[in-house]
Amino acid sequence: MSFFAGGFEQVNPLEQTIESILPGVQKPSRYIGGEPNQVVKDPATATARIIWSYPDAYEIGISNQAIQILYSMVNERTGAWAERTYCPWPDMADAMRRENVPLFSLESWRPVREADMWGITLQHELCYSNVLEMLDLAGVPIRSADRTEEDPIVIGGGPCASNPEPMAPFFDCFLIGEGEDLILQVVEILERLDTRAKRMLALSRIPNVYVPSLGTHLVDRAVYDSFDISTQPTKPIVPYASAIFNRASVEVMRGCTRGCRFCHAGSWYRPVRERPAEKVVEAGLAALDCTGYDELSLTSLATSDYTDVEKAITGIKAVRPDLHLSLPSNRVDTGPVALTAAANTRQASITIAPEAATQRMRNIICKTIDDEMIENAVRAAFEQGYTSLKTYFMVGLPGETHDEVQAIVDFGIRAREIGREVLGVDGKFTVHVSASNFVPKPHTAFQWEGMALREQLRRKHEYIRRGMPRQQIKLSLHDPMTSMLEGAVSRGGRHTAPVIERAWRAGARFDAWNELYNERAWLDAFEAEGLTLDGEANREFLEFESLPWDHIRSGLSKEFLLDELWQSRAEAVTGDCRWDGCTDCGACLGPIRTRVMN
Amino acid sequence: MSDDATTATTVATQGVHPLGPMTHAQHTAFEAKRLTSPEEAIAASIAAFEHRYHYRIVVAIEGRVRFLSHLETVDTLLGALRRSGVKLALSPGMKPKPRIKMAMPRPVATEAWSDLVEVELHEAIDADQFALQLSEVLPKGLVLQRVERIEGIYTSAASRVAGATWRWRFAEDVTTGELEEAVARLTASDELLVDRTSPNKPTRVVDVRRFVGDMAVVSEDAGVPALRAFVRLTEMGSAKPEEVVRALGALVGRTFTPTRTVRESIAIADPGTGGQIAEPALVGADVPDGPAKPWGAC
Repeated sequence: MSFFAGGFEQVNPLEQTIESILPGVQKPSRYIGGEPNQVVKDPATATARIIWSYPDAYEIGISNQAIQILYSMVNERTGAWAERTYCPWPDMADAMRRENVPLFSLESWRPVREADMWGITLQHELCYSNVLEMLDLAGVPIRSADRTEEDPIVIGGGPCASNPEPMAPFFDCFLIGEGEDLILQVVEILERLDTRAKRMLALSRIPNVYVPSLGTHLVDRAVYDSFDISTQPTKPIVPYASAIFNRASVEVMRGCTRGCRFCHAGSWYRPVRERPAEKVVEAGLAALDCTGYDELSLTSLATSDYTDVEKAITGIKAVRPDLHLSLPSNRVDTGPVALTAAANTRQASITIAPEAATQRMRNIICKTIDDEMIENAVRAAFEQGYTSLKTYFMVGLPGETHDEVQAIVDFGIRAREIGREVLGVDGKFTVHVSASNFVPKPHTAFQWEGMALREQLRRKHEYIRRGMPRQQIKLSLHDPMTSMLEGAVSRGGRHTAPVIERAWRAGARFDAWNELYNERAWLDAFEAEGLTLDGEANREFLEFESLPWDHIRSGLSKEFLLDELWQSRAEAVTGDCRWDGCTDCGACLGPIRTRVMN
Repeated sequence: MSDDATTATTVATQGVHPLGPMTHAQHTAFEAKRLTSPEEAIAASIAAFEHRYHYRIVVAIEGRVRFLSHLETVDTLLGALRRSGVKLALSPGMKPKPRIKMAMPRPVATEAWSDLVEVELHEAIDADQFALQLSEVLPKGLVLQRVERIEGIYTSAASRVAGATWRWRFAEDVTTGELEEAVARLTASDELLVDRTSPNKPTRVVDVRRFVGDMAVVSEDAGVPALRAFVRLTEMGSAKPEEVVRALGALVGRTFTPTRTVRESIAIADPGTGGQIAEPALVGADVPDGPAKPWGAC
């Protein structure tokens, strides 16, 4: 017997080629699959083959909760087999092209093109070029119009599907909204019908599915109104390679009532739905047991707003007192600071996001906090023993003046003063001040507003950089160029699609990665289509103008969003509907309204 | 919780906003129910450090998991250990870490038949029971061979590694004659230099001959030649397996490209021997077919 015969399964020529190129690429573990809790079904008996993709590197994509939920739902509740693939890093993509290896799934190492359906989540605009890269690597025609019976149905989803137009020619259809209920209908169609044409026709009849080839028809956002804990993955996949989030997680709440006017997620995921604490505790402990993680995250858009947060923390800590429990996205307040401290006794850093440094600007963006609350939160953080305070701000917001930019510098200095008061002048602490650039998003109150000019953003960054002291303060500023691209694409229309295709053909991929961002490719692509990147990003829409995403009905009325826009221009805040009464945004309908009101 | 901590928290909550999720009273009550303060956590971890039980896990690494890096392999094993339900001992301090050690890093894309992992547990467990629990949760490709309880004074295997036996299989264009000639020349040489290049480091020259022990060309029933070699790990360092193959190719004026590389076994010196071992004689020795049977196999 050969000494290798015992250890190796039989491999086909494609697998042999993949194995031969893996030793020569960075992080080959990105491509091997086989992680704990991966699901493998018999291809001969699976009723349909579905591929889920996150169009970025494995370590980013594996942390995405949406993919984990849909993967688990399809594999546990249907006879279909859900597999995964992520965007190969450029070294791997080049090797695959050189060796004629098509994009393959991690579970079976079989070509993605052989699947019945290929679902790609669009979590941010800077991954659009990666979608084209993946389609090309898979051997699937870039444009939907060129696909045949041999190709899978390519479906888009995720938050960026709220404006599908820039990517419309590349997808066969989009699932608009939350996928938990929708996906079961889609699988049923794949199982029942056998041709591409029949399947597409059936999909187009679902009110939450947008089929671009049928023209811009009205589509309603799907809302997973029961928000039942049963869709929480019971056995999430545990990555081999370092993921950005190496921890188990339970989604405790979906939606947010804070109403920040810049926030896409705050608008798109309305209304607020919560899960009972006892179910959260049960799901969290089960996830820890089956993954082997030593950290659990209670996720939501603002976990400190979750009604049962205290009960959930206490319940989990009662069973796992040493557990590292993280509560992301907390409000700026002393309550959340204390909550975070209670949840996790070993973490040295805490994050707060004032977003704007003056009261005027916080009124404009509807961030209902004041200077005293921010100061109290900073003080509480240092008093609780945190030595690293991370703070987030935005520059380039509508109506921003020099005072707002100066106030970010002043905040950094004041936070350092507070740190020195609590921990001493030479105390070992760091205040991290991070400033990103405002990017207007569809379906928000600021969807009509343009971005600041690139030069303005650069000057503001430079002002902050020069004014901010270095000692005990660490400053990080987001590159305006990628923000401009995000802004140009996020509110783009069908005319933006050729720009994306040109940029990809010119070498753009992994645009969210600074070291790989190809600025020239994008500038040339916009120019070739008679556009400018800055012009698209800076564009202000008129209030009565038709918007490229008007046919996607998020549930929020346009009147409400317009009213919010005017309120922002009047520097007035709108109350939180959880406490201050309904704002009549339109998101709560039927049974959800009843529950929210109760 | 200390009085100081309570005072600090009370002061910190003076500014709670009326819209906040907890009132001051609720917050105080919650603070009182806090289960673990930092001081308590440190004290608990120090106490746990005093009760440690050492185990050695022997594991084969086969198939696609051979593409895991050393750190990824450790993380994967750690995840499996946690899922297995054994009580891992943690290091003391603010950020306790599980105490796990692999005897020798494994180059990416190479297999291993009997890699050694040592782990400290907080509670003693029967070695067979440990093996049973662990074998059920290891991912495909990590094949448990056995678990041993280490009694007496513990000296890590990592500090006593004396070398490893490697095996390479080559593509069909490599003949047994070429390999035998290369081995004969290597054995006859006093020095065999190869360049070692690493990212962000200057190129070093390594004398491969110094680190290579016994070496034998073995016959395969598939007709594909293979090579076995013992490569020493000394205070002066070691040669990487790919450097040994490169040096051999240079001796006969060609490039040998292995299609598979396997670390058959790791040689560990007994405590008190100054790292010396009786090196394995490979010429004429029995050639194992593969890793031992998995733990629990009949």
